[in-house]
Amino acid sequence: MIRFFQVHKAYPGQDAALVDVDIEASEGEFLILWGPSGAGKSTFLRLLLGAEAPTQGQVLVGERNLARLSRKELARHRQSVGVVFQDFRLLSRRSVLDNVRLPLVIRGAKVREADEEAIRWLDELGLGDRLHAPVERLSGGERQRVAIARALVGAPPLLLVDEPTSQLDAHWARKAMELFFDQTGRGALVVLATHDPMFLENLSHRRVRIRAGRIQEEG
Amino acid sequence: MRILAFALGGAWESIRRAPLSHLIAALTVGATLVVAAGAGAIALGLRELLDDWGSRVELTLYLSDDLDEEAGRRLAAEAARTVGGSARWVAPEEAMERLRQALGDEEGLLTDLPRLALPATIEVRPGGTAGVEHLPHLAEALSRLPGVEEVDWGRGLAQRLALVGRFAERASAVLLAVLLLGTALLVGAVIRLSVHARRDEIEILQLLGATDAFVRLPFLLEGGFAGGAGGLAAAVAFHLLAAWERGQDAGPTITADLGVGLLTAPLASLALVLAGMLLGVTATVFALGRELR
Repeated sequence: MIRFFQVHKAYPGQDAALVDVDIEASEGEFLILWGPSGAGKSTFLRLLLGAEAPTQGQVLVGERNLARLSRKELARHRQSVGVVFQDFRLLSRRSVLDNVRLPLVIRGAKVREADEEAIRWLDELGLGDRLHAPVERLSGGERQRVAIARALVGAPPLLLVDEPTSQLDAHWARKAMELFFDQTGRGALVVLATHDPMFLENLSHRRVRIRAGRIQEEG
Repeated sequence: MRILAFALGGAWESIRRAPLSHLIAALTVGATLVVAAGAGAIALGLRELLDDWGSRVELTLYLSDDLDEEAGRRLAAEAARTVGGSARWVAPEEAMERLRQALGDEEGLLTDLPRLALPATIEVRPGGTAGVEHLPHLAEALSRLPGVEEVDWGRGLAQRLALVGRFAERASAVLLAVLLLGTALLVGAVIRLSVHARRDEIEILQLLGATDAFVRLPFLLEGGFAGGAGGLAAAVAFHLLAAWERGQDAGPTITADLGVGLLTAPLASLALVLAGMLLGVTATVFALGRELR
């Protein structure tokens, strides 16, 4: 489903963020990308989202080379990706419900269906009673749960999650991981980036270590 | 529907965040429309006045001496057809009688003149649609009729009035263009400020797969609202002017006598609001074209 072919990513005046990355992952896989801060994990995810283009090499999602997509095609690709950003990237002045149903609104879903699905995920994540609260009034943990709910709506075939439990307590961290694992059951590819090795001890899925922009399979 | 609701929310949020700049944009649009529509209406009113004057002008055709009454009356009928109005043959005797009456106590001056010293004439009134601009053409056509020696129609005054009319129209067109350009730049600047203030939000929308149209819609609505509010302000200004003038002593008024009253009609008020919205949306399209590329 995704393939990095000889991908190199460099920013002006900085060390390369990714160096000669070759990796493939398929539908239904749970890929854990782990490494220290600044190792290139977020860059990897941003390349998959099409938020950045590689300096060299190709990033393929399905049969599509993301660097060759038009603006419209790129927007359509992003509509098929659920993302939990490290800094959440929520619309702070909008309500919790507005934020979570936003991907569905962008995809043109029917009003009632969008609301029902958004509320269902917010209930799952313990925010059913905060639907109309502005995001700017939520705690960090609540915001992270809103971001997770937003990534899960619409059953996207590709889920990119960047340090998704950094602000969650043990209960909600476990719950969030369960929800991510559940997505593989319906055929979604989940790519999770984390820096926390402790967090990995309980996970038995495919791991890829990333350090200074280079990746190494860990089985 | 949800997309529109989301866009309306975004537009409202922008206006709420920067009410003063949006108020200034709306008032500028309103002022532009007041001046532009007012100048346009005055130019139109002036044109109507000139056309009205043109249709009232009487052209006098002086006929050659060898034309008898029957030929003169036939020529009058042809002249009436030529101008699409009316024409009347005036016998030399009638012309002399008019002159005598016009001289009043001085009529003794005419005693030494022969009885038919004045030529027969035809008095021509153009049709109702003949404007001052058309008078020279009508006079030219009439002068070519056989038996017409000369056409008298006040050429100098008509040409000056036509010049005034043309100047008023062109001046209002130039004024309109300058004001529209200035206003579009100001509304565009306000929208660009909104775009900068919401740069993070725009990036989030794009990362979630929003199309360019989805991202632009709130800003287009924002520009449309500011422009529409300006159009409404212009319509209210014209109504207030008309109401104020109605309360004044009788006399010439801008609304009644210079055509501005036209702008207080319900359809004109609606047109002003729509023109304001169109101006706001157009300015936004140009501003976004540069900001969201």
